[in-house]
Amino acid sequence: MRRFSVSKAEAFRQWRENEDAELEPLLATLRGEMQPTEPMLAGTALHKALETACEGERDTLSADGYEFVITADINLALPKCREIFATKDYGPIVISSRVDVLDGKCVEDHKTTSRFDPERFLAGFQWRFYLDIFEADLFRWNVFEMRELKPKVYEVFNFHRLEQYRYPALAMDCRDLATDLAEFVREYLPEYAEAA
Amino acid sequence: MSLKITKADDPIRVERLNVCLYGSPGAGKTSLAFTADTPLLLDFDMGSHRAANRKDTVRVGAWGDVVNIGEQDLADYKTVVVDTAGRALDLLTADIIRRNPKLGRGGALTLQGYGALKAEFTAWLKLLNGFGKDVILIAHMDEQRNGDDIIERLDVQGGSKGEIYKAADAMGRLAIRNGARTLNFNPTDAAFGKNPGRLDALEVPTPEKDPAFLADVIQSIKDRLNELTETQREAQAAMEKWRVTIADLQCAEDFNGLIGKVKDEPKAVQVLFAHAATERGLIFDKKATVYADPEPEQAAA
Repeated sequence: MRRFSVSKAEAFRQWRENEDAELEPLLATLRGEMQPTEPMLAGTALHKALETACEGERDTLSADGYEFVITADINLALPKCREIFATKDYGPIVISSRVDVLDGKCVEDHKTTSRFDPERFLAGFQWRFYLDIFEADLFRWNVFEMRELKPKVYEVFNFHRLEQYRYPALAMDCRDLATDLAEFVREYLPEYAEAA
Repeated sequence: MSLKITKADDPIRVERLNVCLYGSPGAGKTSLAFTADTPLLLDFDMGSHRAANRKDTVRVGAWGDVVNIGEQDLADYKTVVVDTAGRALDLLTADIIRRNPKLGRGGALTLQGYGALKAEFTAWLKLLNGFGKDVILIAHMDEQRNGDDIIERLDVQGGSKGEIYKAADAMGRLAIRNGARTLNFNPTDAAFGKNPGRLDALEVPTPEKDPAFLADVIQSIKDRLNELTETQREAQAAMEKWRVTIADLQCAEDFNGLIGKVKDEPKAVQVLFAHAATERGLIFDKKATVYADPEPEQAAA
């Protein structure tokens, strides 16, 4: 079976939870055919800016032709180990992940959004998989709320820090979702069920 | 306003907690909160009279009643119970709009108004924590239907709900199942929770049977968090040591010489080691459990 990213596993979970969700967009996502939207590209650019950011204070960040004007008051402690990749073999499927920050038993993820919705983050499986794959105890979201001022220029107007912890059944929950995803792939994407 | 990037935080010992308890009306949230360690209940909902085991209570009609609460006012208490956090945020919202009408529109906060709400609520919780108090945030539960499933979540108005999710170190829901009250901190597909104490679902005894039930639960969460703090400190130290070592490794031989040692290190170190090997283009032979240098044409590519 080919390797699937945490975000694809989460896309599968969201599709399964939503009675009205259509199949084809999910299949396109799992095949890696979905084109990134403008907000996604802006988010990727902010990640890139933070990946290489050094200690210090600044009013703007820039990367990939995007500029981010910071009007929120943000204190961010960033360890040196950033953008770390890892995988876990769940038996029928391998799940891959790339965390923005790895700091001992804590993993952090930077998120960009136009509106902070903690329930969406907490309900998801991304944090569960990250804690499981990296054998970490604490997951921290650094959420940057931002809006477009003009093309490729965004204002970061608010910042939120949200945390979640490992719980006893976490590994089992991840294994169950990974197993369900593997069964789904065998049925709907048989060409992806073969080893890469 | 700016972004200030600093070095990694040192893990700190947990002396006090913010705990969110939520559940349906009548589940016994206030009664449960009164089993915390020497509690003072701030009764924003005006419903404390229903609790059988009622202890010291202040009825709060306006945010101004609590905003200037001082260390001396709380000297005799170890826990402050905010009942309910949703109603407290409603009163804070009204107070913000009263002080600056431009921050409200039709009784709701503007974007700037939410900024003020976030800042003031967070500062108030920090003030209570700064006095060394644990804070229990009580919230009603809202049941939302999703197909055949029922999703349990906090029943708090609008964007202010996010402040409770952020502020809570632990979050448990109180429910009555088959006549027994249970407190469950575990998140599930259908409910939110934060379980840093890694507790199984707990059967809640009557206050008469165990008047210190929640005090013991909170202490066990603190003990567990402080164990995690030590584990975190060790993992951070191991990562920093290995980060320097790994930076000097170049070829498969260098990496293979350290594979045995890395196996005994925390997962973070193993991940860092594998990540560095991949970045250098090395290929891991799963059967032989050793790295191989890339073929010359692969290396050139």
